[in-house]
Amino acid sequence: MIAILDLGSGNIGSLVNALNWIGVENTIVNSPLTLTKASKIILPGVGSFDTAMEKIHYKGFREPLEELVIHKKTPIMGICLGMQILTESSEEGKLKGLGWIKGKTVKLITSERFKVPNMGWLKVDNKPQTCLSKNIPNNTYFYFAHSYKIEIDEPNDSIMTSHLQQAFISGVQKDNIYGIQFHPEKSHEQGLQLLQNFAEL
Amino acid sequence: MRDYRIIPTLLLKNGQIVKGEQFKNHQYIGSPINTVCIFNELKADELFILDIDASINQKEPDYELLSTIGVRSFMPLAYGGGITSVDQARRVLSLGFEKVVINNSALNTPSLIDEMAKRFGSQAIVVSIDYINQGNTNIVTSHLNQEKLDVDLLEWAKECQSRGAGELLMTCVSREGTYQGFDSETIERIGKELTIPLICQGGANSLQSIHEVVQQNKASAVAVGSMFVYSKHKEGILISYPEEKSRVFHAFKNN
Repeated sequence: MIAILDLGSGNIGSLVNALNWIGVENTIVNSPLTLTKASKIILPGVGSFDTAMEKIHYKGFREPLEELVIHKKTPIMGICLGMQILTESSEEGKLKGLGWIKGKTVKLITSERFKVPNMGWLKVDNKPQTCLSKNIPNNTYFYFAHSYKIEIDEPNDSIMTSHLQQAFISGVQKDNIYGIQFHPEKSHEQGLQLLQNFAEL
Repeated sequence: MRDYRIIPTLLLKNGQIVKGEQFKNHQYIGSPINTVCIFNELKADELFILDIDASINQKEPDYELLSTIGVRSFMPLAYGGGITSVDQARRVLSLGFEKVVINNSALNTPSLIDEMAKRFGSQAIVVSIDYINQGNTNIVTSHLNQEKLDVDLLEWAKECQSRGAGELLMTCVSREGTYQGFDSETIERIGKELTIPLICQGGANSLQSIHEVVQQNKASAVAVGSMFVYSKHKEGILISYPEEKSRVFHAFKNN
């Protein structure tokens, strides 16, 4: 059973729809009690850094998450903002992130050619392939909708990159902790394949 | 070549998909569920669904219909029409829509943009601006009552941006549904002053015209109506999407 954390500010309808479509059992979790029953966890992706972290603390998720993810090694995947809160901090907010991925979240710089938020389809370089990108050809397009990106301390944590005016990280993995900057629930079949891959871990 | 989005725009009226010209004389195109399914199959980049009824008659969004659409779409969806509160926006977003589109409610209460952006994030808020061309000037209009407004197009666009809109959908009503080609001058004039994406609409008549308006005129994306619901200039209904775009962007083989 995949637990989707309800961080209150965003649209998890699409994510639920996508998981239902591919037949993956999922439940929206509002309290720590239900969280402990999860075999996998998804941190969904909309809102802002501080509101997401506030919700995590306010709903009492912080300690159970640490226990499940760090000690029990429950697979967890952060999508978009969900990946950004895996880092230690963000230029978007004042609160600390979960800190499981060493690094920080920074603002995308706008330019004449590149507008922010970055909205649209970009190629994702997923070589060398990992479990998350199984059956997904390299440089497949996925849908992005974000104003921030992450910068990490350990290059080995990066499993996917994409390119705007320069390369940026579109996917991370550290042991059982995964993060993707794009929205698989909105990326047609390739997105559904990625969700399937996560479900099958 | 820069990658860019081509976004079919579907207009809802009385629960059906319609299309008009210069926002008038709307003709029946098809059922919303079927039409959305087709665009999903054709792997469209994204889809805008705008309920002109809900807007004009100040009705609530048709949540039931939106829910049915949301459940089977795996590309980004935006909905506009009759959204005047944060709570309505929240409800629409929860049904599987990524973005809400607001037009008149933003003009009436600009602080709504700030509120929604703060609550849902800028990337979930599209402000839609309609305008007509009169001589050398652009006049912002309200499609609710076909009224010309005393609002400067560029100033309003910049205000929406500073209040937190993630994107602007700018429609040239004079060219809408006419296949005349885009209003490149205005698109360039506005686009170059914005840091957020500008989605232009009104007059698409070929893939070439779409390509040019992005490459040359500072639009980030293009919203298209008539070209994707009619076979040729109103010669018959045909739901289509540029095959080349879907093939290149969305080709995917399940091994």
